[in-house]
Amino acid sequence: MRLFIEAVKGLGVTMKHFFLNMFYHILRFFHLSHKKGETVTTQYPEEKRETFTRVRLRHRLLSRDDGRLRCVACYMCATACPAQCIYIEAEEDPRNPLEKKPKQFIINLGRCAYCGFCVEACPEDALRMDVHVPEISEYKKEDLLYDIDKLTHW
Amino acid sequence: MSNRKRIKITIDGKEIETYEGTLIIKAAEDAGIYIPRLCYHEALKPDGNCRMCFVEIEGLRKPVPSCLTPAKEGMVIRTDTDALKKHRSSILEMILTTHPMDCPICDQAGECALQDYYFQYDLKESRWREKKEKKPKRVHWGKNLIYDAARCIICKRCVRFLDEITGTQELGVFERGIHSYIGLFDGNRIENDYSGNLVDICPVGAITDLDFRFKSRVWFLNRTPSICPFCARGCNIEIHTNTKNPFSSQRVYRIKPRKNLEVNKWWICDEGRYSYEFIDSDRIEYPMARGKKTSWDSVRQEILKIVGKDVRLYVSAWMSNEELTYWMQIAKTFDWKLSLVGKPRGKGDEILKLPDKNPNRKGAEILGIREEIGHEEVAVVFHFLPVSLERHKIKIGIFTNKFEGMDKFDIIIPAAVFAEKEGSWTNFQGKVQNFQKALEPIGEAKSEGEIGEFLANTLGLDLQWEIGKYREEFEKELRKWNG
Repeated sequence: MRLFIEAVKGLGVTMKHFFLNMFYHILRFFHLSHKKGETVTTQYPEEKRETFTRVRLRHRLLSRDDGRLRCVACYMCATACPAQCIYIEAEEDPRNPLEKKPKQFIINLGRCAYCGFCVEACPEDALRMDVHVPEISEYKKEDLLYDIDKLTHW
Repeated sequence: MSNRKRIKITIDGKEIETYEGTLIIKAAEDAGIYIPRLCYHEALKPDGNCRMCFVEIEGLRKPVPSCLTPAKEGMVIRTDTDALKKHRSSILEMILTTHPMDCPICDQAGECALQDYYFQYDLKESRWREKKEKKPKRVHWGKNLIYDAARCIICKRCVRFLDEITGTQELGVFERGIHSYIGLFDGNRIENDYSGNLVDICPVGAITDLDFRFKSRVWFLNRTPSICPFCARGCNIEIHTNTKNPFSSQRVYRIKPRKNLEVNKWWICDEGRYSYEFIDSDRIEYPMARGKKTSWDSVRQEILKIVGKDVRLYVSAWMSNEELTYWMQIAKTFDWKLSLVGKPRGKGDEILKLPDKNPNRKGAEILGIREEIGHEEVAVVFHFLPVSLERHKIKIGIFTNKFEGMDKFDIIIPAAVFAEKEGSWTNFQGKVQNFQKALEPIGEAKSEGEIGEFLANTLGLDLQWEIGKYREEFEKELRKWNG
């Protein structure tokens, strides 16, 4: 008997929210009220929620004015990375005065914790993170290994 | 040494005893007090040009360079007063006015004396507002040396090294003041056998190694103490490894010397430094039968064929003392003959290199193994081909690296190289020196001790490979040999 009462009580809460939301939505539909507090589903692909400016999203590798990568393959990001998801291979850059450039620069976004330490660590300001583009998705796990090509073009 | 007077001096309130005339910096280091230095190196004559090692001595008005001042009875020395710290900070600030802040691309970063001292004593922003001096970068000095004049702090360690240790004198200081740089004398290149040591003694990243250039950052490397296998001297080395590089199968990145005053002092030769490729490349990773990959089961089958036949073991002078003792034990049980194989003699010199290119010929000598030629039916060959292999019908090889004529062997068992196992070698002085395991054996390779256990078990002998036990047995032999 007690269980039954509790079930009815619970259903009561559900119903309360249902009708309250419906009431607000109807008011909103007829432009009678814009009271915030109703539950809203964002219709994602057509409609996008605004992201905060403090969020950290996918990485970008920046270039210098002459088109060369800013990155000098110093491994600071790879050293700072707590998830150890940055893999760099360095090579000699014959152009003066920078002697070093990355031959390969791969960030495994499947492993990345989006902590932003790599951006903090970069002495050349070569690595930054997106703010308002939350779409980071791939169909295959392997495609989450972002290389120089993917990180520089957008 | 013994006729010099023992004196007592006080450094930072600690009373220490030393010989009269010992340099203060050395006396302090022996007592565990480290005085910062850039130009001073234990092995070289003091030059006193960097001014980092200044100390205060009671009774003297001004601080003095500790690398040029010999200790005297009753000296009271202070190394860490505020005035000295300020002095060091100013010295660093002056050096950093010309030093390019290119630590991100410098291979020395992480083991750079200037970097360390900056964090310890300076740690402030530069007040230098002028342009930095432009100097040549990427100057090739020799096969493996690359010089960056901009990073150079003109401590002259390299010049002194080539004057005093190798005596070849290729380098000198050119120009004056802020324009000065280290350069090669006309038409010279540094081609002596000890050039790699210049990289070690350079306190900053002015001289870096072309062989190690941009391969890895130093803080990713694991350092394992080991012994150089390339000659009978047994120089103390450190193997720097990194097995986590996703782009390369290279495991060993470089070899650095370890200080041992009785054997190699501070140095190693270039042959020992740059010949580490054999650890990673051209290795035999699986058991082979007549040049083709095979399984351990067929190895077992093949080994069973040698039961009851005359066997000669060609143990090598690259095996550790313990392994030699263990294999001797196996040979004694089965009544097999033993002989020694090794690398042929090469060139030696007066500094470190010896003509005997094997690390453990002395150990084999102590155990009484000699180079002999035999014509038994079965030959078990370790590491090197003996002279008369054709006379044996069944050939079993235990090799680390691929070589020509592998298909002549009925069975080749992959063996671990010295960096993949622990053990000890006896050098030409009769000193037993340990090397430690830096890497896991490649593929299915096993150490010679484990191979011995495998062989003994296959042949129905219960003789376990215990490194400690055979170490003790070898030491017994050593004591007998020493008398």
